[in-house]
Amino acid sequence: MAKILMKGNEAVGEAAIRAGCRFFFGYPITPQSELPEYMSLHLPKVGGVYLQAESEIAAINMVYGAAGCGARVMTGSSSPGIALKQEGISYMAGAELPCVIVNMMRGGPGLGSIQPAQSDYFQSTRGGGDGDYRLLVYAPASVQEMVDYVQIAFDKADKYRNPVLVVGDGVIGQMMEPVEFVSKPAENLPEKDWATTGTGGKREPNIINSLYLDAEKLERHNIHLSKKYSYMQENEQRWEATGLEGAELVIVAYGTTARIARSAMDNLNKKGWKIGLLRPITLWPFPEKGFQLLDETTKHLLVVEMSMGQMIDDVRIVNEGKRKIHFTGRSGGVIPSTSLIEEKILEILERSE
Amino acid sequence: MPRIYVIVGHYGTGKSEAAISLAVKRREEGHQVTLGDLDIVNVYFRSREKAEFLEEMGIEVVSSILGHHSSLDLPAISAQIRHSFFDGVSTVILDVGGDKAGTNALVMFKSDILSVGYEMIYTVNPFRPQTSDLQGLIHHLDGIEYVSGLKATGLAVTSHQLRETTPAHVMRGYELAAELAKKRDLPIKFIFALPEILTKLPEGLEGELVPVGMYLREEWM
Repeated sequence: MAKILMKGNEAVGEAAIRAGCRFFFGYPITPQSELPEYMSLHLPKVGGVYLQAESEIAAINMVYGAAGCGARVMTGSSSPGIALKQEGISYMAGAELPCVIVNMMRGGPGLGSIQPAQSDYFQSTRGGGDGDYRLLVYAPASVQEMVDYVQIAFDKADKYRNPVLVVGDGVIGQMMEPVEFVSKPAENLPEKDWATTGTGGKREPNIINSLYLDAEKLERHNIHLSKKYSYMQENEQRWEATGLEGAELVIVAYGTTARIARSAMDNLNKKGWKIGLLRPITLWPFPEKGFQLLDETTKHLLVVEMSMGQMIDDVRIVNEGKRKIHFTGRSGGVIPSTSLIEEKILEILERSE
Repeated sequence: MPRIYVIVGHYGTGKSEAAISLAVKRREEGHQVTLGDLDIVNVYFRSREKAEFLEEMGIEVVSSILGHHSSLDLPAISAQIRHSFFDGVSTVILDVGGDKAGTNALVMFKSDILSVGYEMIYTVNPFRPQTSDLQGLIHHLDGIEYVSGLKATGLAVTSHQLRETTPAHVMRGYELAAELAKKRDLPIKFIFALPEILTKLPEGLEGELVPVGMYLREEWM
């Protein structure tokens, strides 16, 4: 059967509904407005609820409520809108509530621009909310991968009782590509016996909460969360590696930028250079295991981002001083060109000869 | 040959790519061409992004009163387009935003378009979920005709799977367009496809073959 053509935002909506999401609370913002639009049209057809909240803050708190009842629930926005949701995200991590949050990033800071960017890497992986919490963060690089990872995101959110963030950018949200929906069986997921679904007079009430007035109790909760995050770090790293063997230089890039980097890599390898690509698919946990696969021949890492350089900090951490790290990128909504990346690589390699 | 082509259709069916490709073909045939980008609904992937390339070819591009900036999210279409309507020589191609919502921008030019004469071309792409069957196609066509106050005069096949497109993909769009053509008594006016696909289509199809340049798709996409 032929694939259907969908924009990234529409595909996220369809994938969520197929993954069992029945609630979406959001507020429109370019460049992700097709997602709430899709949900408003299609959720009622499957007995779900789409609600346009009065603000992003209201929306994330509605997500908290639905997740507390054990429902599969999603919200989506773009950079400044995700900034507004940070308080609710921290509360959900604290209360151990599963949900999927989609960020189609645009240029910042502040209201910024409506064009694509990747300058919410810190916001995604360091968190804008308070406290010792982590989000599982997926960064798909195509519309098909968006579809696949939305399903995975819902399953992982339920598995870990933790919010999961799926980040794209304006290009992935707006770009049209052929996709297919291949339903994969969910992992063996635990019963949501913690959800507030009514006691029926047969059990003690479940309580959804992130407030602990007793300091030692909160510390115990933090230790519990920390163990969960360590387990995720050990088991959830994902990446894609291309051409690492014998590579003189390896590009590190994710999402849309990884696709541009791949074109640059192919162009240079055709001319006889040996360039590889390491594409993080999880931004948190950062795929440090992927970096252990780098070849002895690789002397340089080139980080490319649609920002002034944020992921480069994680590359520095996992690199442990072994290789020279370089950066190029564009920001503010400007998309880097293949030639920008090619020129940077040649400058690095020709200088080191 | 008609002076004004109005390209309409459901969101994401390939209107802008079709509008640019038709503008390029008419220019190469030696006509004076103006491309009017009337999309004020979504700022991504609009034909004005290719203004520099088109202007180098000698095609006039009209979009916002404030220029072709790709991130201007303002409902401000330049009245300059009227000059091309009434100059008596230009072939004007209007790239209209998707669905009923996008068609709103066309209404301000309705009386001009009616007075000069026009072709309103409805794009048919069966690989978009909402226009995969006759019912969906008719639903969007009715909405666009209702909002614009103009009647479609022909259909265009814009059926594709990007770089994976085969002649069979195009023919699926053609067959659906033929059904709609019969139902609404409309001719198929154009078949848009990659040049290497056009040469492999069966002979005797209805409609002008127009090569698509994938102008709005960067090499890395």
